[in-house]
Amino acid sequence: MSAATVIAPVRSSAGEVDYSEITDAHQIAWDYTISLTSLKRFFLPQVEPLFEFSCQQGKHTLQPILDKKPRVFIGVRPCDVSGLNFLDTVAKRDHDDQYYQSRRQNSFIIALACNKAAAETCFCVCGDGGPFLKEGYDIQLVSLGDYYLVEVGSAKGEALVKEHADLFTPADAKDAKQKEKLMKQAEISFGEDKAYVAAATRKISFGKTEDALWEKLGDFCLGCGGCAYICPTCTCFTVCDHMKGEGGVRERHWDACNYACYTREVSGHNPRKEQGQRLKNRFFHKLSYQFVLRNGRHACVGCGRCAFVCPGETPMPEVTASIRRGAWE
Amino acid sequence: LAHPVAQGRLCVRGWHAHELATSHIRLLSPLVRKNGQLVAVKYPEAIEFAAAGLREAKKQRGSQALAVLGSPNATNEANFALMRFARQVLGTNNLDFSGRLDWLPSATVNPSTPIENIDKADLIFLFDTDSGDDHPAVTARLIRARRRGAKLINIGTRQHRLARIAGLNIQILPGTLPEFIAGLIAALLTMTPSIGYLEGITKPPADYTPEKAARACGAKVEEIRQAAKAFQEAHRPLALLGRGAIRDAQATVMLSAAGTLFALGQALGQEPFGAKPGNSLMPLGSRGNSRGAREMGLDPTLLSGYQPITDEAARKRFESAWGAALPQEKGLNLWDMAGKVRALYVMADAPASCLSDPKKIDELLAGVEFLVVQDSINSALAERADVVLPGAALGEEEGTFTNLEGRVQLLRKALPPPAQVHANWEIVNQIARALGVDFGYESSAGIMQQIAALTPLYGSITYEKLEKGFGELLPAELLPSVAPAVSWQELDNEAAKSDADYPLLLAVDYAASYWEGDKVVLSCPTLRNEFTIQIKDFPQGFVALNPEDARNLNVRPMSKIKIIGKNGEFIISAQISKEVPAGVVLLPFWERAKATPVLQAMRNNADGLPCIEVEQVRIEGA
Repeated sequence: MSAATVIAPVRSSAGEVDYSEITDAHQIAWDYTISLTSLKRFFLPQVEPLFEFSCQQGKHTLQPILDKKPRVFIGVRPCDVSGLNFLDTVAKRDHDDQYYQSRRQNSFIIALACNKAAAETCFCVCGDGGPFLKEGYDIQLVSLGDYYLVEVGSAKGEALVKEHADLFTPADAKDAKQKEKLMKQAEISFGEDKAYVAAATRKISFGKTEDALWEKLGDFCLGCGGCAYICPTCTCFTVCDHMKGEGGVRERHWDACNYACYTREVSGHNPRKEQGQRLKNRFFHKLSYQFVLRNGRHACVGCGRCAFVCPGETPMPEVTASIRRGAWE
Repeated sequence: LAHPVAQGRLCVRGWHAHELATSHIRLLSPLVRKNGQLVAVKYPEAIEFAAAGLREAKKQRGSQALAVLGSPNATNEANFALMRFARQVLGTNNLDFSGRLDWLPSATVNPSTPIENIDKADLIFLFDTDSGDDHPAVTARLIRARRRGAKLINIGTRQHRLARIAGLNIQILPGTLPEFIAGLIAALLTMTPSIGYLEGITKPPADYTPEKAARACGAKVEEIRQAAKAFQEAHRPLALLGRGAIRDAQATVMLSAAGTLFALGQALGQEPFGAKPGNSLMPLGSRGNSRGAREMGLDPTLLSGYQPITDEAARKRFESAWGAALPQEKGLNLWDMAGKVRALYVMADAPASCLSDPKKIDELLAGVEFLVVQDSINSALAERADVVLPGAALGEEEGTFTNLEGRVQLLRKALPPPAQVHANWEIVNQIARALGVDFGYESSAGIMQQIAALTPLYGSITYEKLEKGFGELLPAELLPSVAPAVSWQELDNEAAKSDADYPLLLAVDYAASYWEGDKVVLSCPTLRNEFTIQIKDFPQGFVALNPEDARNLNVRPMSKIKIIGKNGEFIISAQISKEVPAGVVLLPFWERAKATPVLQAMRNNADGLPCIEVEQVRIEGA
């Protein structure tokens, strides 16, 4: 682990926090609310070279580009760890995504539980992404005032704690009780920005949303794709070849279901020509029962980032609220 | 999130602009034409070659045959260095750039108001803008203003997103915005007879009634009255001027009419956003730095900060700072350059994009004997060049941009440029040095010092200040006056007389799919997918028709149709769109070349910018 890159929440000069590489523990912004972006970009970069290819004298060669750099993530919010756990299911589902797995296997996650709703936009209680993790981490830290309760969540985590046993003292029943208390407090600290996930799932799963509503929502979605890019669970990508002479590099780039080109077919036919239809697909994929069965959970961890990145008014909380109401306004 | 303009949000272009740096069409090596072929050379050789070609052209053809084009995608510093290069080194005022498309005629300075005023306004007029498509950051504010309870009134032809979300939507015929505003003023005056004589304000003629305006612009008189009532009741109204409004053939009339409206509002006790009516008008330019580029003096008649080259005192300041005499006579604009220019230096520009007839660029290039292209990405223009100088892409050089509200912002260098690529201002600097002139520029910060020293409008700008926050707003009070005198007599009283042989109106739509096929967009793989859909759907081009008209004319979606005007005809594909009103045919601006036979009176204003009138046409199957 000594050669690992360490990534932690770091505060910029503008006062905003994002996950960033650090060289000194003092750079860590322990008191942060939520980072601008999730961990996704460290595992599924926006532009990712997959393999080099060449074709010389009729002979084709492919050389995968695997990122095996060890990385330790410190101070990760539970919603982002939940997002990562979701990505794990996607990367394993149909075939092994070796590019993703390579990064994932070489990573170590130290989560930081939220003792209260981190930001106004947070709704992880509705997305089951936090505020405390029950699984899917290597280590979870819970701030108990002057010290952290350290919870071990994986064999990797256990090995690390054993290796550095001198840094830890055993927790007692009082600490565990204190954690339970903090967890309950955290769960009731969420404000008004709730996402009505259950209502939306029911209506979406059983075809009970009106097309007129999606059409209206389509007027307020500016099609930037920001919600998909910022979302810890969105994984759609497109591929693009960068040619250089007889060969080149194949890259995958983030793609977003808000774009018209996303479903446009070679014939020119586009099954989702209108923005509202694209939005309907987006939320169907996020919340429908059939995808919950497939992925093991809703594709929303409640980080709330779509709420601050959306230039229109169509982030998860607003859309689920309008589905529940059955009307936009 | 802290950024006062973006507030943590990006548009689709913003999410992908970083792809430029690694674009597959990136120019990575200097190229020089040898025996008709462009071949890779080392950077110093390319600089020498460019300098030699320009030196020779100046000697053989004279300064008047040389011209320079800057760019709305380049920094203020690079554009300023280029402006200096043209005037001091080449000795010409033949200076222009494509971003002037975002500008009103040169007699006028675009009005200016901070974007955050959208948050403070209680009534917002949307004059012929499709900002949902081309200004998502502004639209984000509009959507929030709407939720806050501000009233949005959309006035335009195409029924796009804003028409659907506005509180009041008034559909007008293309090119009738000045008539609409005049009608609004007339209605306001009848509601508030107390407004008497106002210093400096010319009201529309007394016989210009809302009814006349309604007939001329195809709106209902009741709608005009509703808009006037909303304006009368508003405390802090604001107006956004879209590309359609700015490029309208009567844009100056529109501007002075809007200015008159806001001056009347002030007289009614409204709380204005500034002393001048222009402080309540926000023109929505399209390019990252089209405002900055113009304010750096990429203009045949203006030095930086709108200082006329003929202003002796201003010119003397530049001459003494640079130690050289500058040419005084009016230079050529891009449109007028064709046939007169023999050597051309283009920095990161797409000149064809702003011409009323993009083929005009071929005429210009046919007469050009020596072409220098400096750019970060390849283009058809670069392929015709005699020298290609690869310049830094976004994020590879430091410099400032001035956004549409006049906020000067520092772009930091995020990554080093590739080996043979240099900062754009540096390349200009090197060619100047090779031609025997040392600009003495060491850094972009140093150039900004000179800009500030020579340009009152930028007088307070320093990198030190810019590094601290999110840019500095230029002092609006230093902008020259906005509204020229109103010429109300140009108003139409009636809609264009209907003609049984030519029952439809063909109009250019400046807003529709503006980014389609744009060269910067095409260089980013994801954007290329998104912004070539219409090119793929309609490889022969298209006009948009109302579904009812299409049904009556038996026109099927994507079928070929013949558009017949009084001057000629052309064949194009049909897009059927319910956003288009009945009786109107909309031609996207980027398809204009295909329509030259009908719009052959492709008129330009005095600045050589498109000024295309509506034409009466009929449609037949092709």
